[in-house]
Amino acid sequence: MSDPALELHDVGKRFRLFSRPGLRAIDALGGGWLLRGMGATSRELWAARHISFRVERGERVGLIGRNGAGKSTTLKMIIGTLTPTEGRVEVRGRIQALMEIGTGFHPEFTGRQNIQAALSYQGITGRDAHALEPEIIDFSELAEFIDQPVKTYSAGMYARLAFSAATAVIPDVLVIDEILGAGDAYFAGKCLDRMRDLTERSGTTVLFVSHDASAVQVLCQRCIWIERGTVKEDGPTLSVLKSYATQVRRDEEARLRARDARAAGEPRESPGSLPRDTSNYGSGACTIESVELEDADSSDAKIVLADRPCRVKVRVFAPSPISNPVFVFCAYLPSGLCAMQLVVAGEECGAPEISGSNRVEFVIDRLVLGAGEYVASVAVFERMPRLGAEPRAYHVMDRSFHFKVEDEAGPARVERGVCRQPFRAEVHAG
Amino acid sequence: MDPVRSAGASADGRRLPLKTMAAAPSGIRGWHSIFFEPFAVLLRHRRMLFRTSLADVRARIAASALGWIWIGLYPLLFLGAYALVYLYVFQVRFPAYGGRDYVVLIFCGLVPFLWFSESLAVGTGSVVANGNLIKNTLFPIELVPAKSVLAAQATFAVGIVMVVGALAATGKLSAWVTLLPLLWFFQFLLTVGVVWATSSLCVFVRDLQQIIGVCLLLLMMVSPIAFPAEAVPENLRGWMGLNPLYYLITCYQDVLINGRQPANLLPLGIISFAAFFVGHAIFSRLKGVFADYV
Repeated sequence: MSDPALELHDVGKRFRLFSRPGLRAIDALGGGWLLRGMGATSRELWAARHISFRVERGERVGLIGRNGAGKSTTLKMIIGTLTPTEGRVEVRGRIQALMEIGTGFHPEFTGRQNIQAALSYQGITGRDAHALEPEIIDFSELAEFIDQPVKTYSAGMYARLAFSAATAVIPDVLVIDEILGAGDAYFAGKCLDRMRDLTERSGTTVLFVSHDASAVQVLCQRCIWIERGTVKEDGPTLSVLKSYATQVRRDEEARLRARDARAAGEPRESPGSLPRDTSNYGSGACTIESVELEDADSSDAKIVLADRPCRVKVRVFAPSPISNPVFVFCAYLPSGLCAMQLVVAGEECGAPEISGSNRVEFVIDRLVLGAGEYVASVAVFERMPRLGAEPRAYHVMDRSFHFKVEDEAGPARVERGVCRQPFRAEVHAG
Repeated sequence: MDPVRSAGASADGRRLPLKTMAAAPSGIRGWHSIFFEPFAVLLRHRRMLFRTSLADVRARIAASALGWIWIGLYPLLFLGAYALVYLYVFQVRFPAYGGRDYVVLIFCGLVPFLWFSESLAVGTGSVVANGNLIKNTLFPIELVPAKSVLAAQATFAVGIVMVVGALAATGKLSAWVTLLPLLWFFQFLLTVGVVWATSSLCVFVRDLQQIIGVCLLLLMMVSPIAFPAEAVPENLRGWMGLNPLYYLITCYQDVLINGRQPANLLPLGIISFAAFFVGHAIFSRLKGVFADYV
């Protein structure tokens, strides 16, 4: 077993938060006694603690976690920007952080001059730098424009040149932080492919930090999940990503639920008074008491899976009998476009008249909505709604029920669309 | 948090440097690091420092219409203003210097002062402006202020060539001019030290940039640029010593126009080294907390 490329032994970082940055400077210069004398108070915060892991040479490891989970702090300690408060970080080899592209770039320089400037910030000068130039120009596909000032470049061209220059030399340990998220999706994908090619070929140790699970999946075999400043899970990418996705889904559910609860908590006019609240109105002859989304795991889900069964359960209460109510569940995209509308008249399901408590269930055997966020309206109308005209409503809860559709395997790198059209494919020769 | 460099043998026989970052015992640090580190960091990365400084100068030139001409024009404009005010408005005359010599005298002080002031003006904000480089593992952040100092000497280089040329033309050049590289070295240490201190403090106290501007203006007036130090009244001469530029500028004047042994060389050397070490100590202490403020 060779020495690992990277080792963290029980690393922790404590920040002392002062009310003013100047006090922090005094503290760092050894004036802690002065601050205590002045009565300045500081709060202590462990941004990361008890972090231990080792990365073998040639391993590609993803570091995931939410914003503020301690990813960046850990990373900064690895690259040496921050000194750990406790513990020890060991790095074997030349470490390079790819945190932003275009270091040393200047708009007035030509592409070629900028390549040289960027390389000089990586410690490559003279003959070495000139030797690398053709390869960089080649990958950037900018040979035609390379002697023009970069201020004449489009944003995409600029990013291409900057990325090519930044990845010209692959160090022993490469730390990549989110940069691939910048720029358009096409370019991000291309960069990701290049990163994988380069690192696979050279056997570079990679630490890739992202909250984009799918990007981690492309690049890394192993994944470390940082949560609340410590390592929550460390293992094969797929299994860690799965638990991470589950956790994120659970928290997202809580968020959506809190949002709907806030909306429901707003004062609502008493039924019967025909209130014209913009999002919650109706004659009050019957009222929607609750809306629930049910899937295989949960009877009150906020996130359902595409291609899986689910059902919408609406509790309706009519104080006195009403005839032929029409029940509607209508899901909108964030853009406001109606994605699907489930409409059914009472008599179609054998209930031409309802009174008292009723439960209306829309049963979906297989959800064809694609992954994304949706907001739904739930309503009971007096007649079937026609295009362009809304009939008199018993009760409408307009766009107040939030839910989300996700892919079972977590975010996919392939766009599947808003509608999951069932299909099969055939290939015929000739 | 000095990176301890040892070696770890790897599987394929390649020896990779091992870098350890551990919780540093706060308080006393090794004496060698105070005196050795500031030189080591600059020397270790000298090529990178040189290339990036050059790129800085080029960037500034590329951004202006007159380009390279500015580098020569800038000191000449300053000199012109000085000469106009002192020679023709105030009608200042010193017995030791004729009209033409007086202009050269001004230049001897002005050229190093411009290097110092430009370094400070640009360098103080350099860490804040180059916050992105803090995360660059290959380009130590210490180099950023040093880079500003090096890039700022373009004017100085052109100006010194002008002065030496003018002295040679009037036949006033002496052998003492060979001390110029030493003066350059002292001024470099002094300026880098001061800029290390100001640039790191500026991260926490941004007003420093304005304060420095005012200080530079004051320094310009009290420094013996347009007058020889001997012209200062006896009772005020002691105060001159409080200005570190006094030693620097009188040394340049002695070596260049006066053609004599620079009397203030020793204090200048002491001040320069002290500023260099103290500046680095401040910078390396504050560097650990930069990342959160830039």
